[in-house]
Amino acid sequence: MKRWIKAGAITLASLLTLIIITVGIACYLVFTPARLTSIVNKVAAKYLTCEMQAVEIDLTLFSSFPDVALRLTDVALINPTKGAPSDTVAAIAQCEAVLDIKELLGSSSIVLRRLHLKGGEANLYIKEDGTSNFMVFATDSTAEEDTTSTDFTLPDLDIQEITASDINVTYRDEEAGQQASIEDFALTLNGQLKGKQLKGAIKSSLQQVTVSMEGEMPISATVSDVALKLNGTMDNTDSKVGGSLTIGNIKATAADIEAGIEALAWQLDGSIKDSYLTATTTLDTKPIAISMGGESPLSATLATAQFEAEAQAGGSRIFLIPTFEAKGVNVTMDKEQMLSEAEIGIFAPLTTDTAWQHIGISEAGISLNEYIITLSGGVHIPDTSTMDAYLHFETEYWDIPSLLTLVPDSYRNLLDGIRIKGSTALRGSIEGGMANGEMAISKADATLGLSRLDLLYNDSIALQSRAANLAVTYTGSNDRAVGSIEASNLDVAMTGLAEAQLEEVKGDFTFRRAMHIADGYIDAEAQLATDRLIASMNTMSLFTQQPVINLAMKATGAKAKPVYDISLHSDTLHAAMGSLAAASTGALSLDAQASYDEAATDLLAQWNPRVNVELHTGHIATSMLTMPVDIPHIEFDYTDGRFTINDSRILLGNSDFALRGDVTNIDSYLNETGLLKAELDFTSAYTDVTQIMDLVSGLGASDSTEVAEEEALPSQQNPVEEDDPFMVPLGFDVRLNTNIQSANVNGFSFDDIAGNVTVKDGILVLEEMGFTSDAARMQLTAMYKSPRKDHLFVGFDFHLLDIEIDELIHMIPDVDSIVPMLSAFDGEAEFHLAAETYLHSNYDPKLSTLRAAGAIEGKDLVVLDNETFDQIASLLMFEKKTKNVVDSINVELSVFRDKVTLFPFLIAMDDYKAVIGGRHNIDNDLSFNYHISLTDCPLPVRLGLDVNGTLDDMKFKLVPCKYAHLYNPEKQNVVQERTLQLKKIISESLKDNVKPQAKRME
Amino acid sequence: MTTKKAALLSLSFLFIMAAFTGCIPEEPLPMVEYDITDLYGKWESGTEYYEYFSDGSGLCWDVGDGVYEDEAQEFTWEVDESEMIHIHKMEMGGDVPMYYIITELTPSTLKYYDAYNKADTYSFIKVY
Repeated sequence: MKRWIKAGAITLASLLTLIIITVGIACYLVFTPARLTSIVNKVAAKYLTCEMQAVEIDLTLFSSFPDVALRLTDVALINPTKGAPSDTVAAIAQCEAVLDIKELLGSSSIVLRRLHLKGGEANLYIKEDGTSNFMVFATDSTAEEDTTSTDFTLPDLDIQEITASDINVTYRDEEAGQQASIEDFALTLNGQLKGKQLKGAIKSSLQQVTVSMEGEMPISATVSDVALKLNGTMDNTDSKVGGSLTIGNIKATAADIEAGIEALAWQLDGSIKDSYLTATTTLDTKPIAISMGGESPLSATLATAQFEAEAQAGGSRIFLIPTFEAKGVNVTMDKEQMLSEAEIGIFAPLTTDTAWQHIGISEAGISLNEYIITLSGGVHIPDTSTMDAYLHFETEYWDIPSLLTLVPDSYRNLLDGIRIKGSTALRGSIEGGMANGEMAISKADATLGLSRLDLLYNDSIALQSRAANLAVTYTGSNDRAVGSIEASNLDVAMTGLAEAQLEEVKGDFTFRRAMHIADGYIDAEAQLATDRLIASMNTMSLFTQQPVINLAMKATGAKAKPVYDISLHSDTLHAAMGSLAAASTGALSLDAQASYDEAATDLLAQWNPRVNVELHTGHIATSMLTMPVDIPHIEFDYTDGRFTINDSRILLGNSDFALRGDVTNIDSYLNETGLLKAELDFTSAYTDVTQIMDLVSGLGASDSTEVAEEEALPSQQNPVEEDDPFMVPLGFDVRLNTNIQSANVNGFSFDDIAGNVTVKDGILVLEEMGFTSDAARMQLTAMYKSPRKDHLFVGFDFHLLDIEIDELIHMIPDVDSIVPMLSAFDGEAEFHLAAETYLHSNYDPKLSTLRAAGAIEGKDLVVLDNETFDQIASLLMFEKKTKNVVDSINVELSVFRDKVTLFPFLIAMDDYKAVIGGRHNIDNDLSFNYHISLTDCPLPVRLGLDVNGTLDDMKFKLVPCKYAHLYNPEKQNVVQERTLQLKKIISESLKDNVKPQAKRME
Repeated sequence: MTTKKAALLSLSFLFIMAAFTGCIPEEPLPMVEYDITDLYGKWESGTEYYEYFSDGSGLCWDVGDGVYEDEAQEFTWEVDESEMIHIHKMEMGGDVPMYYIITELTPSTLKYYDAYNKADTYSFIKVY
C-alpha cells in the first residue's frame, strides 16, 4: 500500500477514535451541554496555546442510538497576532459528527455515519519572522520518543458521508510574500477501507480561489467554479481510479503576463492490475486567452484546446502517448497578427523507465495547420546534473506559396514583389545534453531541400532550380560546422539584363569555431564548383567549365580584422559582349586574400586585398580592334597596395610583348594625397608600332566638339573650334621601360629599342628612346603636356645616327620640306632635331610657339643627278661627272614661329666649294629664298645664285657671291663670324642630348 | 660677224667677268651703343609680347595665338652694340638662336630687323 494512503488511513482512524472516546466520556460523565463545554474547554486549554471558544457542545447518545452524535456550535480558535487580518484562526459555525457505536463496539469497525461541517472560516497568517498564528498546539517536552515498534493493523473503516460547505479560508505569508484565499469551499467525501481494499469518492467545489505571490515576478491567480470528483478502488492487485476536474474560469497574472481560461474539463481514468498500469486522461478547455505586455506585447487566444494522454506502465517500462491539439489559435505580437485561426497539434509517443532516466520519443509530430514536423529522439538522464539528448526532425515537402500564407501580415511587406513556386522540406537532428549543469550541443545537422523552385522578384530577378539541397552539420567537439549545397541546376536571370545558368552545382563550406561567430570569431571556408556556368548580361555572355571557387574567412575576435581568402580556378572560360568583344581563356587561377578593417577610411585600406591571378591562353577579340589579342600567359598580383605584373606575354597582331613591373602608391592616389606610381618593363621580341597605332587610333575619341574656352580673349584672331584632344591623366606617375628587339614603324625595321615612356601628373614623356634600324641608330625623347584643352604642348628631341639620307627622307618626309636640297644627296648622315610647339585642341600648332633646331652632318655624299641639280650645275658651271661626291656638309637650321632659317653651310665637291643658306616660310606655299655662293671653282669667276619662289614655281637668279669669306676667318665680317657661333650653339645644344649609349654606338 | 658685233660681245663678256670675279663686300653693320637698361621691361607689338629681364632672361607670348602671359615661353638674350641675340631654349633640349640688328632702342620704342633678312623688321612699344 502506498505510504500516503497508509498515513491518511492512520490519521483518519485516530481522528475517529478520538471522537468515539469523546463520545464515550460524554456518555458516561457528561450529559449536559454546559458541563460538556466546560470539560472540552479544559481539555483544549491543555493541548492548545490559544483560546478556544465554543458556544455549545451537545452530545446525544440515546436519541440517536445505536449511533452517537456530537454537535458543536460556533467553535473558534482565538489567537491574536499582530498583522493578522483577524484574531480568529479558525472557526466553525456548525459541526456534527455521527458514529455507529454498535459497529465500533461489536466488530471494531469504524462507521462514520456522517460528518457535517458548515459555515467555517480560517485565517492563516505567517509573520515576517516565520512565526504563525496557527501553530496553537502545545508540545510536551517531557514526552519521550517512542522507539518501540508497533504491529499496527488498520481497522475496517466506513466513511459514509463527510460534507463541508460554506467554508472560507484566507492565507497570508509575510515571509514569502504570498497570500491566498478560498471562498465558499464545499466537499463531499465517502469511502471504505476494508482489509487491503480501499474505495471512495470525493466531490468538492469552491466558488473562488485567489493566489498571489510577490517578488521579482508577482503572480496572482483567480480560479472560480471549481468542481472535483474522484472515485476509485484500490487493492493489492487491482486498482482503479477515475476523476474529473472542471473549472469554470481561471484568470492569472504574472508580472505583465495575463492568462485566462473560460472553462476547463479534465478527466482521468486509470487502473493498476498485476502491477501493470494503464491510464488515459483528457483535458478540454474552452477559449484560452494569454497576453504579455512589455516592449513586444504578445497575446494569444485558443478557441479550444484538448490534451489527451494514454499511459501504460509495466515492469520497468512506461509508455506515454500525449496528444495536444489546439484550434482557432490566434497570436498577436506587437499588434501584428502572427497566427490566425491556426491549428496546432503535438503528438509525442514516448517510452521511459520508472526512474525516468531513459526517455525515447518515436514518430512524434508537431503540426501547424497542415504542416507537420516529425520528431524522434531520446533523452538519457543518468543523474540530476547530466543529460544526453538526441532529436531528429523531418518534414515532408511543403508547398512554399501555401507556407508563406503563414507569414504574418506585418511581415508581408518583406515578400512584396516576390512570387515563388515550388516546395521545400527540412530534416535534421540535434545531439546534445547537459554536463556539470551546462547545456551543450555535441552535433547537429540540417538539410533544406528545394524542389521545382521558381522565384521571381520584382518582375526582374528570377531564380529557378529543379532540385537543390543545402545541408549543414555541426560538431560540438571541435565546434565545427560543415555544410554542402547541391543543385541539379541553378538558373538566375535579371529580366532583360542578365542571366546565368549553372549545372550540377556542388558546394562545400566549413565554419570552425561556429558557436563563437556571434563573438566575432569567424573561421570559415567554402568551395563552390559547377560543371558548367553560362551567364549573359544584355549582349554579354560568359561560359565556363569546371569552375571552382574557394572562399575562406577568418577572424579571431570581435575587434579583430576578418581575413578573407577567395580563389577561383577554371579550366575554360569564354566571355563575349555581343559583336563588340569576345574573350576566352584556358586555365584561369585567381587567389585573393583580404582583411577588413572598418577603422580605415578608404576602400582599399579597409579591405587590404592581396590578389594573385594567373591566366593561360587568353584570347580577346573586339570590334574596336581589327585583330584579336592573344595572351598566352599572364600572372599578376596585388599586395599591400602594390600591383605587380610578375610575368606576361601578349600577342597583338604582329606584336609579341611582355609586361612586368609594379604599380604602387595606390592608397595615396585613392586618398587623393599622392600620385599613382607605376614602373613597368615593356619587353618585346617584335613590336609592330604602326599596326598598334592603327589599332588604337581613335580609341576613346569623342565626336563632340566644343567651342573655344570662354576665357579666350576677344583679340584672339583665329578662334578654333575646340575638339576633344588627348589629355594626359593627372595624378599618375607611370614609367614604361621599353626593351624591344625589333620593331616596325611605317615599314622601317628598328632594332634594340630601349628607353622610357613616362606619364607624370599631366606630362607624357618618351625618354631617350634608343633604337637602331637598317638605316640608322636613333634616339628619341618626346614630351606631351595638356595643361588645358586648347593649349597642348608637344616637344621632341630626335637623333638619327648614321642614317641613309634617302631613308631619313622616307622616314621623315617633312625633312625634305625643311631642308629641300637634302634630297639631292645620297649617303650616310647624322641628323639631330629638337622641336616644340603648343597646339590648339584640334592639334593645329600655335605657330607663335613653334621652335625647332636641327643639325645634319654628312660625309662623302653623292650628289644625285636630278633636274634641279642639273639646272644649278649649269648655272654655276659645275663640271658634271658620273658620280659627284660631296666631301662633307654641316647643316644647322632653326625654326622660329613660321620661319625656317637654314644657316649657311659649305659643300665641297672636287674642286668646287659652295656655301648654301637662306630661309623659307612655313606658310601655305612654303615660299623660300635661298642663296648659293660658289666660293671655289676652277674658273676665275665667283658666282652666286639666288633660288627663290616656291617648289612649284622655282626661280633662279645669278647674283653676286654672298658668302665668299664665311669660312675665311681673316676676311669674314661680323655677321659671318656670329653666324658660325650660332651654328655651333645649335649643333652643340643638340648633340649634348645624345645619350652615351648612343654615342658609343657611333 | 661684224667687227661691231664682236666688240659688243667682248664688252659684255668683260662686264660679266668683272661682275662675278669677286663677291661684293657686304654692307657694314651700324654698330651703335644703346642704353641696355632701356630694354628691361615688357614690350608689345600687336598681340605679341616680349619681356626682358636684367639677368639676361626673357619671356615671349602671343595672345593672338591663344597663349597668355602665364604660359609664356622663356628665352635668354644678349645685346652687343647693335647685335641682339635671342636664344630660345627648348624644354627637350636644343637652342634656337635668333639674330637681330637693333635700329632703335629708347625707353619707349624698340626696333630691329632680322640679321639674315633685313626686310624682316620688328617694332615694339614698351608697356612698362
